[in-house]
Amino acid sequence: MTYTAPWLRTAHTTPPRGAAELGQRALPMDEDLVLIRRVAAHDRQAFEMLYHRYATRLARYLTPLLRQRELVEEVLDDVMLVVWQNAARFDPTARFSTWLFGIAHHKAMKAWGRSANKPLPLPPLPHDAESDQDNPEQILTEQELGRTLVQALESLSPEQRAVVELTFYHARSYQEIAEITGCPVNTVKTRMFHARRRLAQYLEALGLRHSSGRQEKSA
Amino acid sequence: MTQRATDPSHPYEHQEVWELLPWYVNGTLSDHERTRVEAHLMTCAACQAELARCRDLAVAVHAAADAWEPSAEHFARVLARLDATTASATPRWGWWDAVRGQYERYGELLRRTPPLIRWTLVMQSALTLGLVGILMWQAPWAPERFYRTLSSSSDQTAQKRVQIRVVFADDITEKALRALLTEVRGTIIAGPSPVGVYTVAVALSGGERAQADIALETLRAHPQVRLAEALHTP
Repeated sequence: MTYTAPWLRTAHTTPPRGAAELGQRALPMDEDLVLIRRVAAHDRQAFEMLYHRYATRLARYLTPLLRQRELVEEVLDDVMLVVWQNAARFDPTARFSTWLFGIAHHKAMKAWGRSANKPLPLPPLPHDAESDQDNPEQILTEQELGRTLVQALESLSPEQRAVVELTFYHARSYQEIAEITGCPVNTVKTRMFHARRRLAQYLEALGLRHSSGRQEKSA
Repeated sequence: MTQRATDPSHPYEHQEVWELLPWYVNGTLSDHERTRVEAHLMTCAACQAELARCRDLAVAVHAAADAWEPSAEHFARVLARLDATTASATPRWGWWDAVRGQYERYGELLRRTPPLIRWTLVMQSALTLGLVGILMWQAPWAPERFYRTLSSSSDQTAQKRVQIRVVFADDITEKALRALLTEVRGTIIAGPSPVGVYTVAVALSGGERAQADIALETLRAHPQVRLAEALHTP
């Protein structure tokens, strides 16, 4: 039995649900399809256009997972090379961006594995600080809340962060995330569950809790 | 849908809706799922609070966004890797595809012809193939000349030219550009691409690789050259 890399498997995307969503996506998807067909015929101008359409979005996805700019650019190079070499194998019934993000995810996880000998330390869960207990009345401003949550995001594993980023930044459905990350839908939900729990633990360890959309110091 | 799915207060319903909240926030749930979540939210304070947490999280994820932008230099590096890969891969695949294609076409033709003609053709082809093989074997130049690519270094020196991908600074003057090209004996043969990448062909008088390296170094050393990459693997 031969191994097939995830980006070479046929990516059948769940059709978008709802007329509004279909209307929003129809045009860009058609343009992507035209471009990838041209890339399959080794059209460099089309390749450059695809690069400009997706490079920023891909970098935005890869940066939180890999954290080092050089590594992000290296993986981005790899992704574009795979697109160039495998454009003819893209299934036109699939959504191009899902296929592309699948390549990026796979390459990012491999790069993360390669850099396992020199990992950047994940911020540990903070311990309750005595000074925090002294001032239970303090209420955080919106800006402080945002900063704390951004810090808390850094404590997620790459797999959890990928699901969080694809959901909240790239607005992907859980079915699409399952395709991109190459795992079952239930695994996507489980990773999101653990990510949310980890963030809640992080905030609780700081003596913070959510209340109706804002964070307060717990008494 | 089972009874628990229609009962917003059922514990399983609570758990399943709780799991769906992130995708309720990003607007990708199906109409059915969205209706189900909204029905449950009407009666569940815990899920209302969790919905607020998910919305805070969405804001934080956007706040953490990095400001990386694609650049001409980065895309030129991508192209340089692509060229290097294409140059090394094309001869092998071109050769294999050609042989396989011929084999398949020939097989199909043979299947359609009467046996007598078929065997005559087979014999004739075998003789031709043998003759061509002998000729190729005896010609010392054959393997190199069969698979010529524009970016292969041997070709470039044979044609006494090397191609370099160059990104100039935005403020370079036409005069400075001309002087630089004269210095390296270069000619712009393509570009600018939409991101400002030029392809410069540099003439090599004696076919020496050292000359190509000197031209590359001269370009790289120029203060108004942002990137210079040869189109072949060094």
